[in-house]
Amino acid sequence: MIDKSLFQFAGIRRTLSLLALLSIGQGLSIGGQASGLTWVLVQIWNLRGLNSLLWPVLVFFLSFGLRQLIEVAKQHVATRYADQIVAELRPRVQRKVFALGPAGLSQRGTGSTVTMLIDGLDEVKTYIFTVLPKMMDMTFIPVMVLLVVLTQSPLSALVLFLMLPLLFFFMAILGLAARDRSNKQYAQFQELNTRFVDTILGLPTLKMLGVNQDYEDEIFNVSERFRKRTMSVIRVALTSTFALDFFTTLAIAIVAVFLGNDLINGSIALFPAMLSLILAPDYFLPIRQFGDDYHATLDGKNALGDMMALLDQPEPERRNLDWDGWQADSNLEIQDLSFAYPVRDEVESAGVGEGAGVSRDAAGRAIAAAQGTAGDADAVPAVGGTHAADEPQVSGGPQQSTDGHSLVTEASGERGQDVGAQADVHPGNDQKPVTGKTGRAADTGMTGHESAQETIADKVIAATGGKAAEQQAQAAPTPVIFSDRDGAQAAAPIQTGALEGLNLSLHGYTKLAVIGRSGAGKSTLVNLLAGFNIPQSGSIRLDGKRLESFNAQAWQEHISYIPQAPYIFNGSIADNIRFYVQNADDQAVMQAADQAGLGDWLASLSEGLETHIGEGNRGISGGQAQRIALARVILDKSRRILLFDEPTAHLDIETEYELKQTLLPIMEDHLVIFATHRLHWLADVDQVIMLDRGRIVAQGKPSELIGQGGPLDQLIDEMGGNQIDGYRNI
Amino acid sequence: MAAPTPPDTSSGEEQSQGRTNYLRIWHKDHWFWPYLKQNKGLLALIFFLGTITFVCAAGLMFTSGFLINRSARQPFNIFAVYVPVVLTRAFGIGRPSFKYLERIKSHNWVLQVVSKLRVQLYRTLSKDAAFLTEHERTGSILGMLADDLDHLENFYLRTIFPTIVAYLVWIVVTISVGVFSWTASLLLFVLFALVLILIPLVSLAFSDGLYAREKALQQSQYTKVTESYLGLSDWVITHRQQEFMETGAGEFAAALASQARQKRFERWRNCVIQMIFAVMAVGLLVGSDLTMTSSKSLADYSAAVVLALFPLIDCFIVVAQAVAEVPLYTDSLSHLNDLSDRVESRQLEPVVQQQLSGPVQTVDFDHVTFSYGPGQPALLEDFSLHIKAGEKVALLGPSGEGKTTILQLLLGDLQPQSGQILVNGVSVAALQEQRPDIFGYLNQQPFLFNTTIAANVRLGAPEASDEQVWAALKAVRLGQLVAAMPLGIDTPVEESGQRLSGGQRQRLALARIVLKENPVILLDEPTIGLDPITERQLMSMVFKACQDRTLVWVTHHLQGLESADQVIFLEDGAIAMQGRPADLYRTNPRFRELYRLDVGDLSR
Repeated sequence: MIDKSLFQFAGIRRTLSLLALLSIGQGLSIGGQASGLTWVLVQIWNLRGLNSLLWPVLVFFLSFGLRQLIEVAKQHVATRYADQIVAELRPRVQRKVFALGPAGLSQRGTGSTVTMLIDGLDEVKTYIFTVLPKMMDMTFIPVMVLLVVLTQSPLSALVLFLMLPLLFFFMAILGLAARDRSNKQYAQFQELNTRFVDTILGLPTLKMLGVNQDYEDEIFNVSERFRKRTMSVIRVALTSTFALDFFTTLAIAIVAVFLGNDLINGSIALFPAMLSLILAPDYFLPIRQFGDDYHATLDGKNALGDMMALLDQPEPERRNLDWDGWQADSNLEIQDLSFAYPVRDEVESAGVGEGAGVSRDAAGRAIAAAQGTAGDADAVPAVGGTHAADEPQVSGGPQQSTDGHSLVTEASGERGQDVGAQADVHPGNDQKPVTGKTGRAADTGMTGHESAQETIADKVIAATGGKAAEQQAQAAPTPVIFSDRDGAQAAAPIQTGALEGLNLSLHGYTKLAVIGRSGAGKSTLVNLLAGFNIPQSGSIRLDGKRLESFNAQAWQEHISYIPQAPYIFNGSIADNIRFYVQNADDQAVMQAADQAGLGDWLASLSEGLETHIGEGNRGISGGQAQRIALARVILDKSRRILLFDEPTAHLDIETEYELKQTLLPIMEDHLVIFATHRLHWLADVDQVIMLDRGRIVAQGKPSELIGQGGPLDQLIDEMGGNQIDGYRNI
Repeated sequence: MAAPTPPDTSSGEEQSQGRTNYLRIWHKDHWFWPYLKQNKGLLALIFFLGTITFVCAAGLMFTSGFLINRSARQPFNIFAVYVPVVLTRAFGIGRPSFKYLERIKSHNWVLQVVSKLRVQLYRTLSKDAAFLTEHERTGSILGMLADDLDHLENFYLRTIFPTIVAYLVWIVVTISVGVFSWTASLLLFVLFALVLILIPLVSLAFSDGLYAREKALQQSQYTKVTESYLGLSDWVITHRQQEFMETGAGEFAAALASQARQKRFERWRNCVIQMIFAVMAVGLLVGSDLTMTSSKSLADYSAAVVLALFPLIDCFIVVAQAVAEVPLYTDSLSHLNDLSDRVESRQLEPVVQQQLSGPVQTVDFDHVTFSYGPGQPALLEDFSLHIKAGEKVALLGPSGEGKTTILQLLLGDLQPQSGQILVNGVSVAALQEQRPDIFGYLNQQPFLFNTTIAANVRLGAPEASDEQVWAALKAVRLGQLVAAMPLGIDTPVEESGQRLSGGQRQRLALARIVLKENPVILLDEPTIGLDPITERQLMSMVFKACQDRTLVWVTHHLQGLESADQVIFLEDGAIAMQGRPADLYRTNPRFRELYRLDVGDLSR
């Protein structure tokens, strides 16, 4: 019930002891309250006058009050402790996310990590403040009550005691049955509920195709089927509650009848009999509450597990480096550098476990929903409802194995909460699929919800036998994307985005373009140079100094990294531009903004640089976001290394054209590494490397490579080239 | 026409600004009251079962208390307490049984209502095409509305049912006590009124705005953290770990503090309710001593009366929390009602529908002017365009230039302020019934349903045979890929088509259009986000599949443009450049420059 990981938090023992003391105090006050009440009732039964009630009533009232006050204190202690733990966990998780860096984050899934941090902490909190006091109650109160009853009426105590295993037995049997059943039905359950959300989301499409009317009945039918499924699960869960309830009330009834019998026989006095009866419900109460909350808090338990797993991840090492930044005569030599995305041991099991976890949790909810006493956890299992809503956000799956940073926001730039929903697998096969053959093999197991992942992983491994495939399968456990580019890739089973035996030498203010097909490793290389990816092997020499990786403070202090969707945060435009140089004065900011081509736009805004942007990137176009990122670069003169990762891929051609005019002068006097699909940039760089499946296949000056019939020409050819010039004679 | 401002479903601003006017929200409600009026018999049964459950609970303690007291008088034999013995058992069995039934029935009722609510949501949404087009890209609003329905479920189960049952039990108690003593009944009534009316109202006043504020804090934390995670690379290279860690920490702490305050209130409130019951118990004890000690047989009932009180605590204590949570649900309810109102206000007067007599010959924009409401800049100004059947027209222009608007106008989802949009000389407003047959539409992110490939392709043409589906798949060159899947066209595509890559998803959506054989195809930047090779493949496939059809293509790139018959550049709501691509290339240096840039033509 209680998570072992809870014991690593400071103050847990103290809190538990405090709660234990309070529970014991509560047990005592329950005894006092019951005795006082019994005493009064016996006095009345004996037809005593009002003044004889003073003391017993006082005992009852004060004990009752004390019991309630202890309850308040208990909840106070538990809530405060829960708050303390989440307040301690949040910075730890945040620190870890920072330490793991963008590569680690995108491997875990940005959306799901945000959800874990915000919703997860909430659930952990609920879990802690619910479970701790209830656990203590269950440990002490029934025993204390039973002991009191034992002194009064051993027979009643025996009845109550014997009822306990029966209670647990039925709880276990029926609880398990319910869970089993709902586990089995989970896939259907989930599917029926997501069908609704799916249909709602697809409504524009249905309407466009003119079939929205037909689907109205479909919605109703699906909902009705969902209702029947839900009801069948709920019925089982309710039966378990019923059994629990039934035996509890039956026990009280039996105790009452036994006591009545004994009283008639004169073998027991009124006081002990009445006291036993009054205490009987309090004997069962903690056990029932504990049972109710067990399922209700599963979410929190799982969330805590997730967080602990994240916190246990090893961090990339950060080395110190004594270096003054990139100069006109600086040199960078990279030799035989290789990188593959790490195989996370837990990924596979986590993937499978997660599926199981979700369904467990769904079952739990269904059960919790049904079991909730007095409206405690009373809710229709919103199983799919919430999960379906979560899913787009947690769709980190496909992103995981793609080029470290493939979170692509829509051109409209609306970000905010629906990151995941919009983030897309860089759709053009960036996710280089598990080869055609294995894709097929994987497909055979697609029926079950949980088994699917296992099967896929297994079969993929079986089919290729290669380690690389194993890595692929594990890095992206969820979706298998079919390849329709057959043959070619099957020959070289290299992990998507991995790099192998890379040699590169950069000198002074070189402008280097990195090109290649999707998934060739362009973004991986940029991430490597930014220090987000740590190479497995190879040597790096920076101005004669040896580096293990680019994850070095001195290096990172001199780079600017501009991805497809640059980081725009909630704040003024000026604050956004100041991100690298926070103490820059207004004039410098304005100058940088002008130089980045923001002048006209700023002039059109009534608040100019102080205009508030962000909040889901409202009011900012993709081109403007890029210009703000450029203004940052201009403002920070010490960052002489520019890393671009597809900065214009999402822009319309005119915006791209205009941005290019701004960008070209900024690129002067910088070391520029520019990963792109857009070949026109080749005209403006000094050097180009073309990557193909993680290897450099062409390297040199663009003018020397183009028209030589090499791989670069082949790529240009595939992209289409100038078709109109060929039509001139029309 | 109302301005299509997106509904701000995410923020609870109206709540946080002050006390919500519940009456205003409940007034003109389409999503809650109508359902409470449905299936009244079942509803009454639920309330009856709920009430009887607590009657049994109280009855169990009543009879057993009496049983003990009477037995202690040591009557001659067991038959003297026969009735209470039987009743004790009956109540003991009755309580869990009725509770079980009540839960089954209420869940069933609520789920039935949910089925209907879902249909209502679907129907409401499908009435408003423009709303859908605006939000289909984000999808989040639609998802949120679906969540709101889930909230309504809980509203019934957590708030409505327990509260009504508590009030019914209140009546039962008042009457049954009143039979014996009106003074006791009146005193109890007043004390219960504290628990069931005063304290819930105080709770409501306390929680009002708090939930909304916490939700807003949560939302803001969400936004900030998401932003910072997306910008993690910039945080890392600036080494600002401390600041990064603190992103959203203010909101987190504030929400934590607010929740702690709320919990504290709840703790003390429940404590107060319990103490009111303690006072009642003492009152009953004193009262029994005053009135029931006249004879032994009467005194035997004292324990019964007092003990029966305690099970009722469970019934009454939940009301305060249930009422306090009303703002939580009101929020959802107001989203849904706002949606209804908006859809209602945007319904246009019905236009007499016509049928095109022959194939599509021409599509015309005739001096069309359009803006989103008065005071908004005109997206199109006196825009005219003549398209002949079979022509391929490409629309270009900077974002925000109303390119998509042209498609929406053409579909009839939006109506121009002046001018007409005509197909074969018939206004599109009069062709809405026939619209799905005329227009095929491919957008940036095609929606694939979580079902099989065949069902997805067949969506627009349900009667199509397997052979036709295969033919359509082959036309978009997915034939081999699908054939290689073990289940063929019956392979599921999985949620949002995650099993397929971006280009494949687009091709699957294209197959729908191929199968449906619409004469006019509208493309809204279908290649955005695709790499150039995939982009080129997709477009050449589109042109091939739509050889004989009319094509209106909104694009952000010029690649593939050479296959178009007409290129139109929009600027400031009007046509800035127009012509055949080859002509423009020859005569217009700007076009030539852009084209060469786009296709990566490196020759100088």
